[in-house]
Amino acid sequence: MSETLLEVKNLKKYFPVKHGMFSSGKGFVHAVDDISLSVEKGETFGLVGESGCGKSSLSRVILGLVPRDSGEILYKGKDVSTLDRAQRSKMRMVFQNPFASLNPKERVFDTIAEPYRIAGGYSREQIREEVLKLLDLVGLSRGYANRYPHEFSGGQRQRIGIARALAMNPEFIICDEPVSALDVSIQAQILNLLRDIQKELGLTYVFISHNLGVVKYVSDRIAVMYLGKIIEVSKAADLYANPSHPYTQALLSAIPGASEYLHIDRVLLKDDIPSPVNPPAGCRFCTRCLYAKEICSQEEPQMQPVGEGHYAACHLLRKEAEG
Amino acid sequence: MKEPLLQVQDVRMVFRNKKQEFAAVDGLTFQLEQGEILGIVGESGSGKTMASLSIMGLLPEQGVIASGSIRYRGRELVGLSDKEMCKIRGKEISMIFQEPIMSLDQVFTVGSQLMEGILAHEKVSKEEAKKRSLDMLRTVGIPSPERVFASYPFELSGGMCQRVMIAIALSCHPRLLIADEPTTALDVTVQAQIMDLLRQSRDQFDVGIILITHDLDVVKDMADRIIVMYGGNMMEMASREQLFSHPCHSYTQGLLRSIPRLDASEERLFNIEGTVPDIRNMPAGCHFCTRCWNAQERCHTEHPALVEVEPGHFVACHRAEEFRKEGTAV
Repeated sequence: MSETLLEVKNLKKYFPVKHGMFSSGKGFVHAVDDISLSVEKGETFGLVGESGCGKSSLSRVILGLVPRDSGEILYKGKDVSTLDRAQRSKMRMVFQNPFASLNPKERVFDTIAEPYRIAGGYSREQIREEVLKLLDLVGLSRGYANRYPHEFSGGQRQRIGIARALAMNPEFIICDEPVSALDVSIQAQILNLLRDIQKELGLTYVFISHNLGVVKYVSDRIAVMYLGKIIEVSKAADLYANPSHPYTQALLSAIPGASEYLHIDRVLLKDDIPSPVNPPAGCRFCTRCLYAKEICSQEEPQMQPVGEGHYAACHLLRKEAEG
Repeated sequence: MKEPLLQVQDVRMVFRNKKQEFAAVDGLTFQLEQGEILGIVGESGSGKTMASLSIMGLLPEQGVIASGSIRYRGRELVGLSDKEMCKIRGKEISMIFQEPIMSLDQVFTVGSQLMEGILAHEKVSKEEAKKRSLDMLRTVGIPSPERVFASYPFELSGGMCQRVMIAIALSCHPRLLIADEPTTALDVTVQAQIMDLLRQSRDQFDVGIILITHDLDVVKDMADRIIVMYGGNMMEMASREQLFSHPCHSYTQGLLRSIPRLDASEERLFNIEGTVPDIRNMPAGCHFCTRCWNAQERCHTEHPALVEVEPGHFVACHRAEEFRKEGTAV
């Protein structure tokens, strides 16, 4: 029986926005709106969605980089806010932009060694050994330890970012668009590296990406987000073979050449994604949905099973099941 | 024989200062017919953007075309004065840039930027220009043209700005449109909209399109013919069918195998080791030899020429003939 590593229940995070210098009205960006999910130990949980759907905010709230407004985040059954430092250091993150996420004034060695120094209790030699081991693990030469980030290419920097995330033997890593800033040939190197490390160290990943091909390659299960909500969760293969939510269908069909591979009709969405400040009432997707009925703009759909381990939030699915 | 829309012959574009020069693009040779979509793919540093800027005559300072010719409908563009080039640019050849929001001027309304091009190139009244601008906005699928016409770029979304860019580019009915990574900054659903729009404009106005991108899926979906570039050189040029059914260059093969595919669940992606070399430090022979797993001795010393291995399929590789016979389909 697999073990649940991370459980998120009804998580909410709204960011306040001001409407103008003199207006008193204040709005909120509904970045993460009532999200529940669970991640099993050892799996890769993919999170896809377009920009502005809240996938990065969700990851930041889970790791506590941004405080949550309400909801529960349980790591191994304990609320993350109650964990001590040693336990918290098991949850790590790899960031999107390898050009911005490394301190340019710090040598690679110090960047990777920092977690050990903060934790304390390691001798100089021990730290040195650990750092060099990590460099080996991510495929960088040991001689690079004394260089600065600007001396490296994007792919190498991302390897440094991964080495940093691997310090202190983590169990759970959130990869926030780790390859979106990289070229195709480098992207493959990093994806393979992440996979190898996962096997070797038994890690659990939450993998965020807007690239549906990449997510399919790395993930065991995938959640699709739209405007702060998860609208569909499923095993990876099942999601691509049998997308249930109209948004997932549109998203998949928008991949160039998708109709050939996936045997789905091309659905061209109209308009842009609505502002997350005033998301539409009812189903968030109703303003762009091709099949929207009256109920869709009135009542918010709940997650319902559509297959084994496959859930989607859409009113029309219930109708189908009933009728 | 009919003159092709654009004929690029052996163009070498270099960055030079007093002491040295480095080639960013070398040996670029292709033709484009009216109504054709040509895709140029490559990773960053492959010279694809510099190739397009060479055609537009918009090279950065220190960048010059050292040799070669670019003929647009029989007219040589290399060496044209700025004044001459200005008459062609925007009127005959237009360009769409990568960052739609950045490439529009933030302090002018969309309308004034649209009218500017029309007024500069054609003798029309302001009213007429406005009418045509609004028509153009309608053509590119903007739902409320009057509102967008009066808006500033920062008030619009990325997808909307890219539509405006396309409207500006098409406003004088050019025959050639260069789109440099037109959807890289946009989401997939918006990308699909923009690609559809480009295809439509090709059908409607019969423009030739050069589509520059790093995304092989996009060219597979859009382009009639494709050029694969690496380190400033053309590695392979072929029709879409040829390139995707039997790529002959190791680089193309590796690239295709390193993309996670939707229709297969591969255990492991193919790795092309190493990174793109710096243009100041290109290997002597084939530019790809340092990363090529099929490289032989002469690949390191001798620069391979672009040869036609079958009609319309050109490859720059010493071992092209071998790979073609093996039929290493991806």
